[in-house]
Amino acid sequence: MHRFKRQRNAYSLIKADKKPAIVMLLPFAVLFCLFTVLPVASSVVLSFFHYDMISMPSFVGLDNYIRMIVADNVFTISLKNTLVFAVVTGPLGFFLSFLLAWMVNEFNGYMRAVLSFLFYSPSLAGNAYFIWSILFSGDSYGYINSILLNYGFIQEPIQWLNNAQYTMTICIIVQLWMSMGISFLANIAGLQNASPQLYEAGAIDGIRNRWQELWYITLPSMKSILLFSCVMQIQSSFSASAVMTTLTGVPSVEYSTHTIVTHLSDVGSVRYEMGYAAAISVFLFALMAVSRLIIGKIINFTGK
Amino acid sequence: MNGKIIKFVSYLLCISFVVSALKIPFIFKTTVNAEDSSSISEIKVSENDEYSAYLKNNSNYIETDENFSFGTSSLSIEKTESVKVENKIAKLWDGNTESAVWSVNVPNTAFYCMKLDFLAAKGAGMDYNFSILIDGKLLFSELDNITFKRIWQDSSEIRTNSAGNQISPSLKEVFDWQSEYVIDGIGFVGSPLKIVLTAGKHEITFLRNNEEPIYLSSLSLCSDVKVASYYDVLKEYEQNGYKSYSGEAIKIEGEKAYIKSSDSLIAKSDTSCASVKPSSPAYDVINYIGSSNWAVAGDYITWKVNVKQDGLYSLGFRFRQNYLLGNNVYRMLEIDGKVPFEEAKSIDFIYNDNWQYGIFSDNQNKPYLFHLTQGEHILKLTVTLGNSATVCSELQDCIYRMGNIYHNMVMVMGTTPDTNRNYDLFKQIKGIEDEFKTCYESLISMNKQLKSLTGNDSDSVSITMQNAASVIKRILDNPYRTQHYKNDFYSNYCGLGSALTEIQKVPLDIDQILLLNPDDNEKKMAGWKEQFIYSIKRFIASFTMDYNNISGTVSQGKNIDLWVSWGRDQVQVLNNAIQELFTPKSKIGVNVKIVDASLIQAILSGNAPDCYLRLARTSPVDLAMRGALYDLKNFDDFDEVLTRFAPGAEIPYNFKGGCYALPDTQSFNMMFYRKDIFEKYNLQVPKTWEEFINVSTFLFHKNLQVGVPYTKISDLGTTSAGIGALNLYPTLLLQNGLALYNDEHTATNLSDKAAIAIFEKWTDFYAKYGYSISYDFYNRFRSGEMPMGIAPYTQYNTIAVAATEISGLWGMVEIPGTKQEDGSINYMSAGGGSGSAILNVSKKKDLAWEFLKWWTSAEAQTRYAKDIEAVLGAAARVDTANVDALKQLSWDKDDLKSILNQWSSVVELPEIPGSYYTIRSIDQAFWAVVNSGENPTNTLIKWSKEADDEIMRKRHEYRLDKSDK
Repeated sequence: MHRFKRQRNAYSLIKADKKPAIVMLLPFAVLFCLFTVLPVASSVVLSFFHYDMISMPSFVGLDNYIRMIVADNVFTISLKNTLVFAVVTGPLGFFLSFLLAWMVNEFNGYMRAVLSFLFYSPSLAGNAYFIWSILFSGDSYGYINSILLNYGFIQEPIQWLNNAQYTMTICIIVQLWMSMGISFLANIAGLQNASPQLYEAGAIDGIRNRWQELWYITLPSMKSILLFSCVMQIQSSFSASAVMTTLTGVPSVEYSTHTIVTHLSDVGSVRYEMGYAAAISVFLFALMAVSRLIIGKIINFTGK
Repeated sequence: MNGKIIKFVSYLLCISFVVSALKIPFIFKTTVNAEDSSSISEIKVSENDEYSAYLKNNSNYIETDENFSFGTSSLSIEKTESVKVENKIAKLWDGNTESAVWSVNVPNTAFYCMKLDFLAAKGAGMDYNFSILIDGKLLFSELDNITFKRIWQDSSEIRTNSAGNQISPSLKEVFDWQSEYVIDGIGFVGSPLKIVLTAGKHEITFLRNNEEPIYLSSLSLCSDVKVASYYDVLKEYEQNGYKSYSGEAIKIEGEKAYIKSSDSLIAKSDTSCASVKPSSPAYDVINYIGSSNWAVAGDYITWKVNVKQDGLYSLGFRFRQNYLLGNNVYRMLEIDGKVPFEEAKSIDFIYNDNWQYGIFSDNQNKPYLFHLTQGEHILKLTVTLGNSATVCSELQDCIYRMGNIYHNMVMVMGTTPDTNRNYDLFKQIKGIEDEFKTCYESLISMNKQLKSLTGNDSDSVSITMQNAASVIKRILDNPYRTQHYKNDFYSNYCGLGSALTEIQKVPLDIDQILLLNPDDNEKKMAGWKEQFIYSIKRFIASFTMDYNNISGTVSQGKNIDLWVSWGRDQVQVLNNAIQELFTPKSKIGVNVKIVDASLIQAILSGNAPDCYLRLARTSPVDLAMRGALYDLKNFDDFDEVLTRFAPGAEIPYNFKGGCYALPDTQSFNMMFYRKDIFEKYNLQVPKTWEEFINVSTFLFHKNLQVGVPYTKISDLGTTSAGIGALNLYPTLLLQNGLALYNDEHTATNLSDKAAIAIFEKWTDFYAKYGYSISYDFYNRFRSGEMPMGIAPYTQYNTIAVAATEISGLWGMVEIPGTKQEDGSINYMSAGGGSGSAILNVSKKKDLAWEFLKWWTSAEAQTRYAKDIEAVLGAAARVDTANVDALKQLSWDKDDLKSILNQWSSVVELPEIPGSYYTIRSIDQAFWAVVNSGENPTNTLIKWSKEADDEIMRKRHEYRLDKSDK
């Protein structure tokens, strides 16, 4: 009887089953809405206002966006810098972290653990990139200057971090060094998840070398991980700012390493123009969303 | 396989060929330079005028065994008559009179010690510092720095605030007669200084180095006190049949001291360890005394103790010496003004991370015994360098020599020598080899001495010495490679300098002194179980304690909320000052909170305080234009309060006719120069920029540098320091009679022709004359690499305190000026600093104003500045904006004059909406010119337009222009 009823009302039962699911989801959903959806939505709204955190916001329409695109030449510089930075460090950082993970994965258990810890430690240590500011210090006693001076390559100390010629390159190097972080770790996990049976089957089916193995088996079987580490990489490349501000300061010489996020915090925390800052952040959000779509498409190519 | 090896070898050959090809030009250079031997110089070490040399030169004289005392009748001080004060006849020597002269007459030629009878008179609370001349001559350098202490006592009992934390009382000065020997101010000489007087009349002249008034009653010429060794004293005990004390240990709490020789010797609190008594896992309990304030030779603390029973006691200490890693710290013990036996002259306290307990005993661990009679006694512990004093003075000498060597080396090789060149240093500089040898030998012997004191040679000082010795050894072994060791030599030289300051400062914490029954060997420390339980209690308490609420909730009827974003120590000091000086008088309670949040966010959330101290230079106007601050001009006595500061100090806080903050700190630049190097080359201290450039060019030829400050704008913090503090461009503008902004404050004046000319002159410093852009002024000044430089005047203290090896060898004067058409020199300088403000949302503005008035007063500022130096050391000088307060801090007389002189020519620049962009634009233009050699005119005009645009935008945004209304 009971069984019969359940069968008959299958549809309504599923509906009823949703209730506990929703209840269980609720804590997260509430927090997510409160701390993620709401701020995002409010910053979209705020981007149409003028707001200085103390006086009441006043509606200005599209003024902020128009100013951003037409009138603010620092924003243009920062957009250019962000794109250059993201295009170089994004794919390269992703590629390097995958390559490193692939190589480290070749070691056996204990060694692999030690190596992955070593490579991950710069990220663990937080602001570890600070040491680069000592290496590239403009003082004649800065490490690199001192070495170059000692061996007679240069006669005067180079202002590495204060010369627009070098700043971006240095920041890119440091960011690549930093990218051995979460995506490296994710890649290692993904590589280990690839099932050994697939490799055996592949060997029987005529896989001839490691490259084929990588392309036809390893990569497709860790697609989701690839996507994850890619998204992380995009996020960190587009929102890079800490490395630049620590090394080259705000504002950097001739705004040479001024990125969108740097500009955003500059506008927000120095000038207290929250409306304009919100407009910039909305723009950045759109930029990231678009590049995520493109990358998703690219990753689907693996194994084809 | 073979093929691989051949390939590898061929690669190697290729590389080595390329490398050797690179080297050819350098080899060529060597042959050219070898001919250049015309410039042989000689290293000179100035004659040793120290006490040790004086003693050696006069070793044929004996020490007197008589005692001659000369009263006020032999003392002549201009326009001063003898008066009777505190039961003694004395003469008042006030700050206006330069010298006090004693006319003395001794019957025999001999060594004499000097002992002065004096009474401190009310002054600024500084210790007395004199130079003593004998018949108009300075016999040895130690007599140039003679210190007599003022004495202090707790002004009240320990109090507890509403949060349950104990607050240690401040100190008040005690005016009592003191009789003190003339001793060496640094403590390298352990005993009183002796001078030779021939039979007959002499004049002993005291010259003052600061303006503190003092009553002088008599000067005695006498012998040093003889102290018997312990074994003689022990025999005496046996002869007299003294018995050992057998009762309970008598405990003297360290924090309950009787007299202290410095107003910074306040009792402290350490609740990290269960052994320290009294202790509390949750609250601050005042339970020890000492730490870094009790570190300089000559500082002492006395304790009163009541002994109930005649007898022989041993002496135990519960103490902490975690300051001098691996080294000992020494204290001299006096009981009732007498050192009981020779060994008590230098009691050693060994190093340990934690609190420890020890009984003062000899090599065989037998406790030393003291005889105490029934009744009250006074125990006195004085900081002394003890057995390490000889090492200190030798090290000082060695560092001086090394500094001399280094800057001679730099003159030959430059700061970045060519490593491939043979400079032939030993021939280029006569006598330098011997100097190296002397240094090497003295380093080795000092290291041995230290080892014999501490039993190991792995402490930081020994290691520094060993490293330095090994570098010198390498130079001596390979003189042709000296240039390779230059940087090594320099870093070791600096290391030894810090090591010297380190072993000269001998802090110690005392929790308890115990008078014990000599058989009592029990270790009076908490066991591990007790400590474990205590730690757990502390952990639990940490969930309920609010460590950021420094004052506790003040339950006075009237109270205000005060926010500061300083360090804990600073806030603690501030709070003590408030609770002792402000609240009792004004009956206004102050809730002091440490916050790290921005004021904007606080206002936004409705949690803003009433009052905020030390807003960064740019903040008041930034907040004021958004209506967040209250216009202080609304208070009637505002103008009166302004007179406390230098004229115009409030300009950066003005906005639209109102004033939104009171100046709190203010700093400006001074010029520092090395007297020894200037003397060596007969250089005049530059008074104008032309002279400055001439001197710098000369120094450049000697491979030395000059420092002109430039701070790169690297974050919000640097911008908020204010435009005047970052670089010299605003200063140069002022000296040429130009303003940064136009009169209406609607745009910058940067596109003005004259401003561009000055910009060019300023960038020339770096682009044309090659001044360093980034450098560590303190280190380079200290090493002599940068004998002249402009730096904030607060550097004065850092150099004075930390770079003791060059004390007396440097000076501080006004910055160079610009000659005006009428021939006078304009010394104007821009400044930096911070201001304190009242929030517009506050409902207690009147109370907050009362507080601000108190805080910016000379009384509060002096008190705060002195206490901060007491807690953090003299290098932590506060750059107070109150002129009277600054005068009351300890400065050398001439230096204070220069500071005040420069201060009177400080002109503050206005802050206007959008002014952060001006700073930025100047910075961007600067780099474009210095880096890429762009045309200064075009660059500055381009960037000044950016700044003007931003200013216009802000003015528009806040409707500041009439047309916008």
